[in-house]
Amino acid sequence: MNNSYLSILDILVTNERVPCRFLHDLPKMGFMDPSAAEDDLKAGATLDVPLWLAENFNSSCRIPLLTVDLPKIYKDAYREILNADACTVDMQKLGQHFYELGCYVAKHDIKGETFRQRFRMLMSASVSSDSIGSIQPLSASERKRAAAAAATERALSGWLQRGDCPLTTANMVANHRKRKRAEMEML
Amino acid sequence: MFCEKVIELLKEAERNPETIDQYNDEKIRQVLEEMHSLYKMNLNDANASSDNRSLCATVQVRHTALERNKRCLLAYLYSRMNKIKTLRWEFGSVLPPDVRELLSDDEYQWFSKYSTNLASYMRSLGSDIGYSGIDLTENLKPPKSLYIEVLCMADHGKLELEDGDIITLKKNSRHFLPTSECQTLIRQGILKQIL
Amino acid sequence: MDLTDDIELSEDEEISVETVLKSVQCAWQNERLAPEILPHRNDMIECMLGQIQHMERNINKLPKTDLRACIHKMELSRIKFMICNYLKTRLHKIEKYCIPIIIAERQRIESGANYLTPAEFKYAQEYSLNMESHLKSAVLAKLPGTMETLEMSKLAVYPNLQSHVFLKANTAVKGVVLEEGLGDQDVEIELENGSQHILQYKPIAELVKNGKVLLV
Repeated sequence: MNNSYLSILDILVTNERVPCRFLHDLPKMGFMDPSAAEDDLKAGATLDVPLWLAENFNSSCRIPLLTVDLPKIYKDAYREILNADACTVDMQKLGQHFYELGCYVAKHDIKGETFRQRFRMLMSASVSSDSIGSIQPLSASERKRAAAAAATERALSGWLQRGDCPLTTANMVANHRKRKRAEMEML
Repeated sequence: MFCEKVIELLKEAERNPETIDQYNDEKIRQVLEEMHSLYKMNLNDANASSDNRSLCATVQVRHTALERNKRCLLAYLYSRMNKIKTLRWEFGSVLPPDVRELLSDDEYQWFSKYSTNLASYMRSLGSDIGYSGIDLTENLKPPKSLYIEVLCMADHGKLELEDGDIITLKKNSRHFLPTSECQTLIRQGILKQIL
Repeated sequence: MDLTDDIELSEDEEISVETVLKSVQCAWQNERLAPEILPHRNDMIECMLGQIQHMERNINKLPKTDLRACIHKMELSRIKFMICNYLKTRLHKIEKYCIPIIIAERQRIESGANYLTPAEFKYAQEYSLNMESHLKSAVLAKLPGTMETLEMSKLAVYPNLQSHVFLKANTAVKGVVLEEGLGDQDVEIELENGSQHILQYKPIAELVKNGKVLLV
């Protein structure tokens, strides 16, 4: 995963909120908790904090300020749904950055199995250009992949119709084969 | 919550990956204001924090927010920088005025330096064997045929071909021309290939 | 004028145009498909450019309507496209990974094993300086207090050497070590001459650079 400093994707992923419990008082930071009426954030407060902030102050630091809990989309009831049939889940609602956030917080296989199931669905949908719109809403990265697959598919059928010179063909066909094969390998 | 304005800026930048939007001076000004205010609060509290350890944590939190804002601002600039690069490859070294308007002055300066650097590199290609450089911004698509039929989309005056012939590009005129000589004009939208 | 003519490179080496073209094509293919920047093949490129010049002069002597002229022109335009695309691909990699490339190249220059041509290296440095000065004037200089400092190395973007590639072995290769991702033992495999595989780029990077495998 690309977590370089300038990556907008990484910035958006680390903007997602995770449930935290504060271990100490935090003066003047009461505004972080919309339900608190005070200026100071008290020890024991539980609220959803953006990952970029939680990361810096969790148990891995010298003086931990808070503990991070697993977001509910990676737990219990949601895991059951995803295990049963990942393809019917509205990924846009559940988590725009389900996979990437999972890499940061979750160590379980839920991501792998979910990914595999939805990938097959994405693959077959992207080969026929109209069905992509009809499948369940996708996460941000799924959408990007689907768009790329659709573009390659269009380019390939364009080539098949027009019959281009060898140089173009070799590159495009090779890439398309590569993509299909890489995807098959993963299943 | 801090660092929310800056995220709006980034989401804006991501919304249209195919085009570049107006440089958002106003939002950037607001983010910088937030940063200056956080910094000032920290300066005040930093002195008191040697007595009050909890305040120390607050200072740390604000510092993290400052670093976060900084990272996001740089990411915004960087993402635009990459789009501006594409402008050079697609529009050439002279930008149409409506595109130029979308860039800040700093960005336009970057564009000019990028353009100069690119031109200087391209000029050096093949110089050892007597070439006067190669224009890499041509030849972007593999050639399908030597000659193509094109429709002229706007009046463009006279065009002199490599073999010396002169043709007049009037709006709606059709021509059968060598591919290599049309590429730039097609990219700029003056000619359109008839398939 | 044909591709079967020979080029004199030096007194002891003669090499056919076809061989040069094949080298250029392999260099182009590898560069397109490898995630990192590869050692330059400027010698072959310049050789090919020279040939193109020579061939163009000959073609222009023929009447415009000569069929041979058309065919040769087509061939030449394809070769030119390939060369341009090769150089452009390299430029884009230089721009994207400019900070780690400059650092690595400085070390490689000392041992004479540079990957970039002098022109490319100059381009990389100018590009990096331009980026740095832009970020400074547009944002950093406007930040409060000590916030305006920035380690340029923080901005480094690295190519993903773990990405998978298709390759064909040009010769038998022994001792390719694949790291098992989950902490298990490494596996050593052998590539038969002419065999095709899909592997992670990192273990075969050197083989691409010394020509033992071709990315496809």
